[in-house]
Amino acid sequence: MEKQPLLIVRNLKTHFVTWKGVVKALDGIDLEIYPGETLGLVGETGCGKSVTSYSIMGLLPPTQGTIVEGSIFFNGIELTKNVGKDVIIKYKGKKAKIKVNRRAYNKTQDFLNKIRGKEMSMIFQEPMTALNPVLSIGYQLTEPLIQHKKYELMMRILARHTLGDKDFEEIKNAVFGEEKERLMELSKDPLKYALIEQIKSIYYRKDLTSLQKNELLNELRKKKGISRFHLSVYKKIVESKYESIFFKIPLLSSYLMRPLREEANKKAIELLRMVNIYEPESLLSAYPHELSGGMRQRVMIAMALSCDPKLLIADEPTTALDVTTQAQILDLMKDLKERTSASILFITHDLGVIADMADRISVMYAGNVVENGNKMQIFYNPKHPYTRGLLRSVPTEETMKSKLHIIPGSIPNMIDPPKGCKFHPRCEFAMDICSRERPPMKEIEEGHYVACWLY
Amino acid sequence: MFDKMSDSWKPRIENFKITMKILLKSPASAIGLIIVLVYFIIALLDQVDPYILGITTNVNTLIPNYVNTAPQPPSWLTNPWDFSLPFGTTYPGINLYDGIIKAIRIDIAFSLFVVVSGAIIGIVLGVFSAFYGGWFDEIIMRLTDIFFSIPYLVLVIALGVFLGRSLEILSIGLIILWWPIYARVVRGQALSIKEQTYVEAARASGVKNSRIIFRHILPNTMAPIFVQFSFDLATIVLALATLYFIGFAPSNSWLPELGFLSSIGYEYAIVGDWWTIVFPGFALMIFALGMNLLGDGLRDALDPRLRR
Amino acid sequence: MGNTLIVGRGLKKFFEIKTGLFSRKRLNVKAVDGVDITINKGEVVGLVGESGCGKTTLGRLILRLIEPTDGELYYNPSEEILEKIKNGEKISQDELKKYSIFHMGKNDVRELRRHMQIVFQDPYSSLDPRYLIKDIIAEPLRSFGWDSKDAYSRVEELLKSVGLGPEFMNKFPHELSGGQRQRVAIARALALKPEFVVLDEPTSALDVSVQAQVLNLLDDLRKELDLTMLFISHHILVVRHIADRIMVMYLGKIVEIAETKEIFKNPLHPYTQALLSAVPVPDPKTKRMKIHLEGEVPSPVNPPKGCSFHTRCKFAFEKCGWTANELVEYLRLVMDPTRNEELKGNILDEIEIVSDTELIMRFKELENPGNIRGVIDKEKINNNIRAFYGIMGIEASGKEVKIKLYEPKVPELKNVGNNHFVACFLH
Repeated sequence: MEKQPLLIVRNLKTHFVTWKGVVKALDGIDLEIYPGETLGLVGETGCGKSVTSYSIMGLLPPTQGTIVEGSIFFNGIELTKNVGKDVIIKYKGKKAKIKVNRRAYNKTQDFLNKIRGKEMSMIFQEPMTALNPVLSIGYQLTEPLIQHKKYELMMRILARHTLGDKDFEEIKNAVFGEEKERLMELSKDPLKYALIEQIKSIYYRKDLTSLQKNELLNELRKKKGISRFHLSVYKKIVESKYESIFFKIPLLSSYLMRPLREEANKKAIELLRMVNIYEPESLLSAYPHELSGGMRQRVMIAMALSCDPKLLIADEPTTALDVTTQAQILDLMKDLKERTSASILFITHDLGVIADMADRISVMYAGNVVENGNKMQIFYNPKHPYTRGLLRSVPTEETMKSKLHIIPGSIPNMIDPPKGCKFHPRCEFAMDICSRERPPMKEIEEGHYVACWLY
Repeated sequence: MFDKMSDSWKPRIENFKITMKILLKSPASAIGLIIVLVYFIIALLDQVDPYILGITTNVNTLIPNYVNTAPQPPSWLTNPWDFSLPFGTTYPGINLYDGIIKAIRIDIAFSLFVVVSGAIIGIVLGVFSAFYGGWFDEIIMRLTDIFFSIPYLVLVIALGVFLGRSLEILSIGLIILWWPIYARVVRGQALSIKEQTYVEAARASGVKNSRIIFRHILPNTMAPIFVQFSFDLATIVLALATLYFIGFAPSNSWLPELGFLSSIGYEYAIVGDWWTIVFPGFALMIFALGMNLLGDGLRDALDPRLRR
Repeated sequence: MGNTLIVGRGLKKFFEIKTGLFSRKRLNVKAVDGVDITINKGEVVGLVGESGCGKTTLGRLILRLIEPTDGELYYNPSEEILEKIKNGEKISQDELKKYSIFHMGKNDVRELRRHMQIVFQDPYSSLDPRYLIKDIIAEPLRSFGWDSKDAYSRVEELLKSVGLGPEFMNKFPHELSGGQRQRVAIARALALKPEFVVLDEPTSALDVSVQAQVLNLLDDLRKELDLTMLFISHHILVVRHIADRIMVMYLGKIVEIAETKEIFKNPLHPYTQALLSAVPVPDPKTKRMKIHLEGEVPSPVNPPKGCSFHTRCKFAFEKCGWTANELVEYLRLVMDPTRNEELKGNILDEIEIVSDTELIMRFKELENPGNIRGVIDKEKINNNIRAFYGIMGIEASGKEVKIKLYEPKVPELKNVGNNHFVACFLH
């Protein structure tokens, strides 16, 4: 069976309006991400990697730039229905004006909000800008859960209190035996899934002996701390999905919310454990500025994972960190990918990091994807002259004390980029046709695509 | 052989062009700029040759006409094509058009003098206090605190009482009060500029402290100074007008000043001769408005974040 | 004439921070904490370490761009001075004033700027935005009295040597790309024909392809001008490419020095090993043995006693400088009878830290004092709690258990042969 891509980007063009003219940040890029894979997006400053992620998330600043053409499909849903309606760029020769239709824009954002943060989330390069400095870590982690994940939180409580011993044993054995297929099957029942999640978080704790883990499991099964009334209401809500009514009655809602807040705290602690934070309870009351860079990035990852996203966009998540911290975070991300089976769009300029993380790699240059293939193809059989140049310009053991290969010139001006292949002014193999026509993407071996006239 | 001089000026002119472009992009700051230019041109023309502006005397005082002291309405009210008295006259028979034009020049000159001297003192003290820090910084900053806590009207009036009510005393009083603003603004800027790598680079290049202060730190603190400068030009004119309006002017002086012009005719304005207060008042208000609009525009135009 | 260009002994730089608005107590951030450094003529020394380890501070200290807290530093020292340093003789105040960069007057230091220059990390903030490129490069020349005509012709020469055309003379920095700016910064540093250049992360803000251009340029310039360089970077692969010798820095101290090849082949300090293993290599087939460092770099305000790396070290043992406060948490954890059944009946009340090397556990009830030692040894091995290696002796008396630790000692840099120096008790 052919796998369907989770994310499809087709001929995406994103433009920015500046003083000097229109910056064609993305000039028709194509990407696919399949379920469970990591796609690495590499390129240098100004090639449009970050713009790609902001375009996919719909986070482009509307007064500066917007998607002008192309489409993005996520899980079969088109995210770009309103292109050309909400934010409009009017071109006048080289200059342009940008206009925001507030109503249409808000509509788009409302639509995207249903997907963003739930099925798709993002890790930013500098966590300090993404975390609110005046709110505690605990608040920032639990609030979205309480607001958007009431259903899941109720499920978690119900799973603990209503599932029988037989189910419990079955799930426990599946988790502790790491029987993946069995777990997949069990996960289809949302109630069982909620329990699997909780048992998994105990199973993956590294600081406990198996004896202590068993103790915690027993703790989990003790039916305490919640009234029968709560349980029966939760059950009603979950079954009938009348959430809105119950939670809108003033006094009742706060009464109903109390166990949910506690549960959100538990979930937050689980999330923090998941990102290898050892004493998560004490972290909940801390503020972002009290944490080190690596710690902040872990919290960011925990936040991004809080809603079990199908797609995680990591925009240079380790660039601001030290190598040893970077190694910790990268291993953590690989580990989490195994556990959550999320797809990752991993954006970086560091070829070493990409070699470590990605399954497939897309190389970007000046707003285009120039080469696309799996990790081995890109690293051992690079075809595009830019990819080759890039790989050869990294200092390695062989280049010690000798000259590095260099790509002459510098990246083109994106307001007035070269015609044809944008790399031709710097390319040692440039031909006549390169300056006239854009090279199409061509498959040269299975799954390996290159946009170059040489092939 | 290319002209080296023009070559090194080209990028600077280019820079200036971008500033003007951003400034003129917003209608408000464009209007502000036009108003300010008109006022300065009027002041300049009056300085060069008052006859161009249709003023018949070039003495620096208001000329009372004791023959007919009662205010006369603007001439175009009775005959639409007669502009001999465009703004009418005020008590005692002073031609308001003459008076306002002269007052604009005097006010602008006074304001420029006060603000420029205050700014120079403030900038120098501010930048030194930021650069050297320590006790010097402490003293300067406490001094500014003291000056900030004195209401300027009270101090100037007190100075006037003790030293005599002349324009010179007044300007000295205002300068004393105005430099701390600049010292504060410059110090704040300079403290952050001081930490920039290019200052360290200059030191590593063997550049002497004085040159670092005046050639690296100072030029980079100028943007907010210009903004402050344009606001203050208006504020000082208003302050002077306020002082003259409340009667700070020497009793027998006929100095053309907008506040004074409004004050001498206001008794007549109450009984219906509106022009005696409306025209000088408007002249004052529009100048202040223009200056403030320009200041706001400058703030945007000089903001490096908006220049990319 | 000696071969040594720069010798520094006991370099220290502490930054003072105020602890609170009203408190008088001040804390010292020990950015550089007793570093000895020797740089020979014509060599490129790489200085690597993670952010906050003090490498940037050390670079600036050598140029005396910041005022030192302690130490002495000689530029081009005479045989006499070298001999004295080697033999550990005291150098007189007069000699210090005359030769040591840290003790000279301002004008003498300024004079030295002709010979010692620096290139900064961020090419965006190291060029004054209001200056034209030609004036930026000419600045060091002008400050040493060149007239403008000579200076500008030298600028043109310099631009050419860093691969930029004369058309760049009349441009502002914001018109240039990152790589071009860094070239300008290099040209400025080379304007006075210095012998020694500190390069503080010169390629960290640049892209890979631009980095390659700058590295090649530096390589050319070095050969052409016979430069001595101190290359500071956190990017170990870049340092390997350019440096002859590498110094590894951790928490204000140098932990290892060796020739580049040697240090990559045979890293001795556990920190160096972890650092090297964490570097991502752009080759998907390389499966590295990753040595994971746990936790974060400790605060330089209060660095660990003894070897400052011992808190994160996989091999830390008795002598590494464990202190009482590092044991407290572990003891609390381990003394729990629900965790270790052997301790049934022991109820811990409190743990008092007497001194760095002594602590007392007070029990409410103490039924099995004899098992404490056994439990500690078991946990030490089974759960790899390295802090317990620091325990020298356990004495029980009444309901108190006294634990004594080894005296913390700081490891000195030691030559292990092959000009390979390492500050670790293992070697």
